[in-house]
Amino acid sequence: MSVEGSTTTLTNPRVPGEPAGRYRVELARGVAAVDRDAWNDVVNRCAGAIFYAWEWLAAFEESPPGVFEPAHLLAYDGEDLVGVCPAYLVHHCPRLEYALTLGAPIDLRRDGPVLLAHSLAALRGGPLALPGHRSAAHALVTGLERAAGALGAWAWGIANAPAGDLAGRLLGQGYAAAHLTTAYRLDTVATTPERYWDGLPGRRRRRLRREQRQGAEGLVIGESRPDATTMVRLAHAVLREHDTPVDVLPEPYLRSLARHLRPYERTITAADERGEVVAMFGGWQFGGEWALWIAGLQTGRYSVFEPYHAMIAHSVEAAITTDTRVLDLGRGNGVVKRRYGATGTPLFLALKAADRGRDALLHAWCRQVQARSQTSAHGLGVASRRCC
Amino acid sequence: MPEAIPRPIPEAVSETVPTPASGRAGDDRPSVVCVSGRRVVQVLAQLGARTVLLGDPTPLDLACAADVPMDLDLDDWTAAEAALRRLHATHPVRAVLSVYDAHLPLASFLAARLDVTGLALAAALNCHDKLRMRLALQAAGLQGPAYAVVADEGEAQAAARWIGHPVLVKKITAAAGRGTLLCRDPGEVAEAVATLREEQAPNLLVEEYVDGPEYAIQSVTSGGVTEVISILAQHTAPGPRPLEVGYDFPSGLGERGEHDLGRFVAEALRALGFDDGIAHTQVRLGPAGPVVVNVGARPPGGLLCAVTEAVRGVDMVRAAAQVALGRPVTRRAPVARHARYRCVTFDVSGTVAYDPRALTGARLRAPSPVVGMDVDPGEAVSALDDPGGGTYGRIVVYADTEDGLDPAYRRVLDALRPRVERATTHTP
Repeated sequence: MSVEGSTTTLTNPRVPGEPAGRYRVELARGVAAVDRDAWNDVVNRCAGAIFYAWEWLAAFEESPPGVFEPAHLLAYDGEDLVGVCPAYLVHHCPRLEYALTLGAPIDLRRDGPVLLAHSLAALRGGPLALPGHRSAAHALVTGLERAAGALGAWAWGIANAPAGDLAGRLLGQGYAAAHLTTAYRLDTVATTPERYWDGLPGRRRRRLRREQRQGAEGLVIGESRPDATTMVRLAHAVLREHDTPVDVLPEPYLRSLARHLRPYERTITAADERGEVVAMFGGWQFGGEWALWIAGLQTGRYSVFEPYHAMIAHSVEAAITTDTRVLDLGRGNGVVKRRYGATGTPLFLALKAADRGRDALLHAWCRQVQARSQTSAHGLGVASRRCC
Repeated sequence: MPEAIPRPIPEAVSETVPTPASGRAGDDRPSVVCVSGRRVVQVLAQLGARTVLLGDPTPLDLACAADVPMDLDLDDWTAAEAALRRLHATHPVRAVLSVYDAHLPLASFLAARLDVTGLALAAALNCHDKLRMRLALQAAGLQGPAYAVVADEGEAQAAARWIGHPVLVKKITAAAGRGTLLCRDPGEVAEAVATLREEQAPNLLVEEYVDGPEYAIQSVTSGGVTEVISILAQHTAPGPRPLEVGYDFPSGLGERGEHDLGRFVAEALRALGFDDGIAHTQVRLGPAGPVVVNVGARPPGGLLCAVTEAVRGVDMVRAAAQVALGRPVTRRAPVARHARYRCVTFDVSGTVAYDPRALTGARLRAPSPVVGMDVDPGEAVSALDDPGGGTYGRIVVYADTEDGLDPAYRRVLDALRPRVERATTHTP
């Protein structure tokens, strides 16, 4: 089972309302064991985001931001792949370990690996199942529990499950859950940028426009592909500015992402008169969803993120005028993002343990860490020291 | 306030066990840990349990009623667990229960950590947090109102526009009523956010207001199987705060309607992860079907426990203790077929006046009328629609027939004559 690149059948989990064994769940110990096109096709048809893409997982596997063993789950109906659930057996994750130090009555980090679907770095996680195969998502959650047992994980769960059906099912099944952060998403319903701006209240629109003009003075805002060195330098500058250790997004990991996700890249940059990139929103579009995942800034030059408004405005207009269906503006800075019409989706970290006592510790920890994150302006998603 | 009215300890019943002195050698009574008040301690003692009472701090008179009073910081779950573990080592704990919303999660945490009987921690937390409750119910296919989580007024206004006025603005963790405001326009939304939002808990829920009759359902769940004990029609204040101001039994739903509602509540409790405990669930029958307003994993407040016992023969506090002890829920013969319960409220602010001779003693038992006031004559009261307003007393009358309720209620009002000086009195 531990051989890289192999798959193992976890048996056919029983799903309420479905004949026993309708869905076969397999465990893949690396992306090499997964058919890239079949996987991406499911992700695309499920309106999944870049964080589910085979290439994102490949980059993560190549240069992980910690010690992770791939443990991806695939649900089959007969021979057809109908559901996927990326997951990792987490041995060492700076984000998770930092979070586990917050408020836990007992140091939960000592208990060994956790099986997580799939990463706190992603803006979304959990199973995806094709339309008409809703129960395959249930089977994948059941498979996650079985895989945890098989792999020796003391707990298993889902990172950044969006508030909705999945989060509700996990809560009903007794998962400990914490609303750790909120992602801000904007549906590109406006047919033209003019209509989008006209749809905002006049006073707000005028104020935003003024802020955009002032922040972008002397800069050229646009979509471009900065080289990986620039991306790492600007992203790490922001992390340091927030007193966040860069080990949450180590350089090899960012470089690997930049390389693997090149075909999907849609990054917004601000360049000065010499053409030097001084700020960026690093992002990728998969299917109709464009996720702006990481911000970067020449912090030595700017004390605040001056081009921020102009870059958001450009992103929104670019999303409206292209094939983007949803623009995910990421976590944090909700006050600003909401002014542009983005709506917040709470993201839950949901965890479970087989042992009742440990499960209670997870619940207690989730309760405390949620309270702590919600009193921070940006949740644990941005402002705290290690959970950028 | 989940405790029922104080009343005399019933005479010994068959299940009562002699109670040896605390700490005496050979004390084989089951230990039950409770985070509660006097009534639970008394009931547990009647059931032959050794009571371990957690308080923060425990009042001296209450401490004297418990076998083992323990003063703890109830927000420090780790310390509470450590203290209980020491006790558990010498006197094994059978169960942990609470009847207070705020302490239900702690009780469930301690039960889980000691691996003894208690409401599932996930269920306690799903009831405690309204967002979790909505998510769990909707994922189970139980319809609910449209809602949004908001962090500030701007977001609340956007959510209210999307949902459509009127909306309810709610604290995510608070009992229904106390942390909820009905908003009919943007101005009221702004006021509600300013009133309810706290720095330590900035997120609020903005929910669609579902219009329709509301019901209070009392139930007992044991081993995951829920039995509905009573269903009462509930009256809610028409003002900005949806306070409960009255109840009627029977509910008026009829046998079929009560059966359907009971099944809905059982499904809702299952969706929330209920296994062992009692619940007070409020459901509104909206145009599209039943909608859960709130679930409290505790006995109902006010006099609803007493009313439920009168009309159904089940003491909900005793039922909670019996479930904790793994015993069957006992019942007495109902003493009334009809009940009318009204809270005393006022439609204007001013100085209250009433005839105190009409007050009944707290020890009076159904089917005698119960009349209680929370304010003395001459005290200030606020109108129900005033932000500081509320309920100031309770009247319960019983009758064998529905026709008998009106005269009984009128007699009480005529005797009590509650009024606000130079203003009219309103009892819904």
